[in-house]
Amino acid sequence: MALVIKIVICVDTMKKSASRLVLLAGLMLASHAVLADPPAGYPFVGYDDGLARARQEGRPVLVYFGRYGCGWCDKTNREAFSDPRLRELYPRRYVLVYVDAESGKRLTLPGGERITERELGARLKVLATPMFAYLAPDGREIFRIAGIQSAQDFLLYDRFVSEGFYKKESIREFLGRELR
Amino acid sequence: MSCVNRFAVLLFAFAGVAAADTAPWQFGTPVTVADARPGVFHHLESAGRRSIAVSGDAVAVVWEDNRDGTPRAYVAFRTGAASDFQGMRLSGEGEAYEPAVTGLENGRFVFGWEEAGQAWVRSGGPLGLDPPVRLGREAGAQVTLARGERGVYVAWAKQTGKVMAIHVARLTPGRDGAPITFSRPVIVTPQLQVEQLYPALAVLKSATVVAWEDRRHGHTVIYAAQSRDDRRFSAARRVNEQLPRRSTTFGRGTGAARVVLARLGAERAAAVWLDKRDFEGGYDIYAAVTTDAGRLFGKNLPVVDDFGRSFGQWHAALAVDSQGRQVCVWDDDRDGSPDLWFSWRSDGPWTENLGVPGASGPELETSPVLAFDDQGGLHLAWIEQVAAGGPTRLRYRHAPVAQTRP
Repeated sequence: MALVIKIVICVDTMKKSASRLVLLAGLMLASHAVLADPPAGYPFVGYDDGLARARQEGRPVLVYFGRYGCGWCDKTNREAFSDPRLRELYPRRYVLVYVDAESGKRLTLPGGERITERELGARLKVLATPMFAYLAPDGREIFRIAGIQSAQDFLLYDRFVSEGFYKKESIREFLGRELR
Repeated sequence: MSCVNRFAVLLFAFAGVAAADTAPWQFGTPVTVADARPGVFHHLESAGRRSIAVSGDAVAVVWEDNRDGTPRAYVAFRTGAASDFQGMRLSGEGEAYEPAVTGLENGRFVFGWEEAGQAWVRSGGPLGLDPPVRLGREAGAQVTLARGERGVYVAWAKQTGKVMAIHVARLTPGRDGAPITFSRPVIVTPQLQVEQLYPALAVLKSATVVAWEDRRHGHTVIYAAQSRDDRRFSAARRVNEQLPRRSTTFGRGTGAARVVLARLGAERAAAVWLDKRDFEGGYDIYAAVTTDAGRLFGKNLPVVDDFGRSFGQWHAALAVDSQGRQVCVWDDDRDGSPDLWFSWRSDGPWTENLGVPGASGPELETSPVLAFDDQGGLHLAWIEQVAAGGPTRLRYRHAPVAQTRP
């Protein structure tokens, strides 16, 4: 059910019905209160550094939009990013970028524009955190997905990107087929 | 789109038309303040969204752009009946961001901005600018300004140990071209040095009120405090009402950001901010009023209507007209692309949201700021972009006087 909800979030315009489903799903989860930061043990870097490295190294980018105090971010950190398969795979295959969606820290877009991390969130319509955006090495967005993610989800997203499925189908089509 | 959603869209479209008939402002023709050029990006961003001000018959708009390859702060003035704006550079040689402005008297203004990581101010008007003054050697950013009976004040986020903490100082504009001077900056929460961001100011008859984003609780909360003597601030009190829930869903709590204050009368001020409390469609806008010169803010009221709450709101700005009418303007993409929307209130609830005439359509209209003149005329500026990632231009529109009190 959680995966179905995430796919719903993936559509460009988040409608109220989808938001309510997400809210309900979240309320069903266990209760913990902790801060959200990038997951420990991963080499997350700032947006500018990350995009420059991606271009240099020809690697795709995973941009993690978090929010200070975000519970879903922390749950994803604890339950997905603690998985040894992700620890091995993601730092090797992706340049990892963390963006605080409320921060005034500045970054430079590929077109040369200087904006804050928060403004990047506004431009990319980061309505809920965490949001994960996969970018090609040149900074083009491949797809994005919001909400709590599992390690299995991240492994599927990796296949979608690294095996080039995104070139011929949408993430929705890919997940629909893979999860059938 | 489901049948229910279609019905909702039709219903709200009808409501919008009905509301348009009662909108109290008739806007004039849009004017371009700064034109689009390839590779140039204009930004109307400032703490407290103080990017436009009126003084006498002069209007000043401040912004940042990279026309010469480096982000710098600029100001443009429109005076009297002139239709065009005349621009000049506000900042020096360093990278500059987030300029703010407030009006003095007789067509003069005070400006503030961040340059090379420090906070700066200067005064001036259409005839020229006085020398710039740096507000200390420490790192500083997110400058905001306000003026009232008690004088002109500046607030900014200043490096204090390992964090940025909100400081406030009183400004005294120089005479005959002399530089502005400032009082010793006062830290708002001296006992608690915690990350604080993006202050907003209102100067009332008996107190200076400051509100800001505060991270003491492990999530971002809006706090406010008042000072009656310019030497210390009252204990900070929370502005946004926090629902009593802590869970995996909400973490330490929901987010609230980018508070804006406006003077509402001798001892009253209004606040609006972006608030994620209901987790539906991103940030919504909430508002509250203080009636005791900023000691406490009251009940939070939603500014965005039920339909709009399904979408994310950004860049909320607030101003109060001469009749005490609070007007909030922002951008959201409920019609498919970012457009400007506004709502207003006197004593009751906020009105149905209404698209700002001439600031909607397939282009991207974002980052609005507004100010009122003494006669009740509304001055509005915003950023317009033909396509995402393309060049921007800075637009302005004036609505002379509100027709009726709603």
